[in-house]
Amino acid sequence: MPPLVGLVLLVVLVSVLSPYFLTVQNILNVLRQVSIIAIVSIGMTYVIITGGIDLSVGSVAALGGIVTGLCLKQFGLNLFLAIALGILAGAACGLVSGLLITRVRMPPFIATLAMMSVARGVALVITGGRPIFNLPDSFRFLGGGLLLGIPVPIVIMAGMYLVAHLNLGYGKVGLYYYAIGGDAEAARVAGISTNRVRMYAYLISGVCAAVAGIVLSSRVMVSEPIAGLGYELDAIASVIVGGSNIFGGEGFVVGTLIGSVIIGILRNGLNLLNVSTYMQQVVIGVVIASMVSISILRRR
Amino acid sequence: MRKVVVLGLIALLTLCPSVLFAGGQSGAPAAGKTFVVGFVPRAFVSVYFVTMADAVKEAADANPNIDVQIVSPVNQTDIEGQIKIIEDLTQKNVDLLAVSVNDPKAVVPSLKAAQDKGIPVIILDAITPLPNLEVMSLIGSNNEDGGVIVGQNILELQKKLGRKLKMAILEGVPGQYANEMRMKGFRSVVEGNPNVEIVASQPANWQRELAMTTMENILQAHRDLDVVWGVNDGMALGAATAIQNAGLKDKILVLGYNGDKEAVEAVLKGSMYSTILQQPAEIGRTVIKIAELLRTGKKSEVKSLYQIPIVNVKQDNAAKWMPAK
Repeated sequence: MPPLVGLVLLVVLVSVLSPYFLTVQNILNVLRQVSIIAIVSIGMTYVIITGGIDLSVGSVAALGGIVTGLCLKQFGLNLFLAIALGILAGAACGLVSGLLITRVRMPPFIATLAMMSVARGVALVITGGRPIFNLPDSFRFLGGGLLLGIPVPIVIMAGMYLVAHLNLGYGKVGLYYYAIGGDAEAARVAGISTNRVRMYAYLISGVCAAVAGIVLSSRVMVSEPIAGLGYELDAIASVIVGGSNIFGGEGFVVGTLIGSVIIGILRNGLNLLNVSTYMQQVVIGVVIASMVSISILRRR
Repeated sequence: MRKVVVLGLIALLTLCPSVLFAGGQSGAPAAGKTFVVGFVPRAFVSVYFVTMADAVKEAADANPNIDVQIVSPVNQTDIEGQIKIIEDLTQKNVDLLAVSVNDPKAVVPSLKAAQDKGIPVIILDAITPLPNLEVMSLIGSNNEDGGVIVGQNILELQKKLGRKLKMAILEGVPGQYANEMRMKGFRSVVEGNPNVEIVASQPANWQRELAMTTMENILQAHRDLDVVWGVNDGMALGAATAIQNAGLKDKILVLGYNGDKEAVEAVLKGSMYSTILQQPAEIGRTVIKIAELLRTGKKSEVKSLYQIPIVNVKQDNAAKWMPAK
């Protein structure tokens, strides 16, 4: 399948161009770096499969990180409680987006655009625009620790992808996401509770975004209200490069993972080769466009 | 039942932004205050402007006659947004317009329009006159000069090192005013010097995590770096974390820019070597000083230039320049 082929070609190309690329350390680095966007992209995959979109993921990631950081630093809460509350904040955002889309029938683009603004605003208001630093050392493990020699963010990413893959592919509700994305009206007539399933999709997206934001905060040991800027674009790119149909009805999380890795390797390779600042913008855009074109043309 | 839910949600949505922006971004000035300052930073993306805005607000709150409206563009690339804000404030007839410009050429027409309406204009965070426009006052210092100081730091470090110095740079958003000016100043000092080698200069878009990621990648190819310069403190701190994680904390020095509290603390502790403080709080206070002079009819006492010294914050003076927040 095209994303995998693209990945292999990219790996070969960058390995040839830079001797520093194909080392264990560098590969681990790349995987750890993409893990945060990859986690966000899981939720985005669900949402796109149902035929929607979630532009708020970056802001929700920041909010999740802020809530957890606040609980840890300001309120001195237990680590697990702080993380749970951060995830809850993300779930709440997802819930509100889902309600706007299903009950008020707002187009997902508009509803999540509004949430993008509100969540970011709330994060800014809570922090007064300043980062929350000097987080307790116990928090470091999530973003910087190792589990059986593997960086924790990679473990979390792998775990979440496994769950999502099983859920979408074999779970009872899994099929419904695709059905709604394929033909929402037909799905509804067939007895699928389209509203409820859509709600799940946006809820999952909010949760994934929050988890990503918390892992991010742990990685840099700071909670910033301006974190996660542009995540929505990277996540959407990952999903599309990974082979999902932007209009919904088709897609699979494994493809999204490959898409995230492709984008991560691109950035990593461009850094390693010290490609000029301005040229990087061009390269990333061209690669994404090519991969998506191939994906669309193949479908014809 | 559904109508209630719908109405409730709409109410919630409209309330949220109002609550968020209640801090003086719209509406009439507070009761009793007669003199209104319109303060337009470059963006709130950096702690630097949050500090400046807080200082302006504090000084205005302490003055019973001066009110300040702080309206910020979304980010530093939002040049058009800044122009719109200037036009809006002009329409509202503020008594003083204090702006830190995202694009010196683009804002000139809107600032001129404000002046033609009788609104005095002061420029913050740059002391180079704008093209074709004479403003009442220039306050602060040039980003370019800050870059020069960083370059001088590098030369000093190189001399201490006694051999060729290898450094990497983490830049902000390519093309942005602050980024280009700082790099220009830096290059003017360092370019052509055979003893300083810039092995990598990569954009990290002012973002901490992107800087950390970029630094990790650069370290793959260049473990033998001596110095890293993050063109703002957020990126410098991200790079410092990457360097620490790689176990290279004692080998690679990190320089920043902006004088954020977190960075000054790092300089004091020794995890960063230096940062550049353009004294945003002092700039903010000066805005209200000028406002008070104008309000009390002492326009002739307003200077055309308030040059505020740039502080090269290092370990020996970090305690003195520690920001309050």
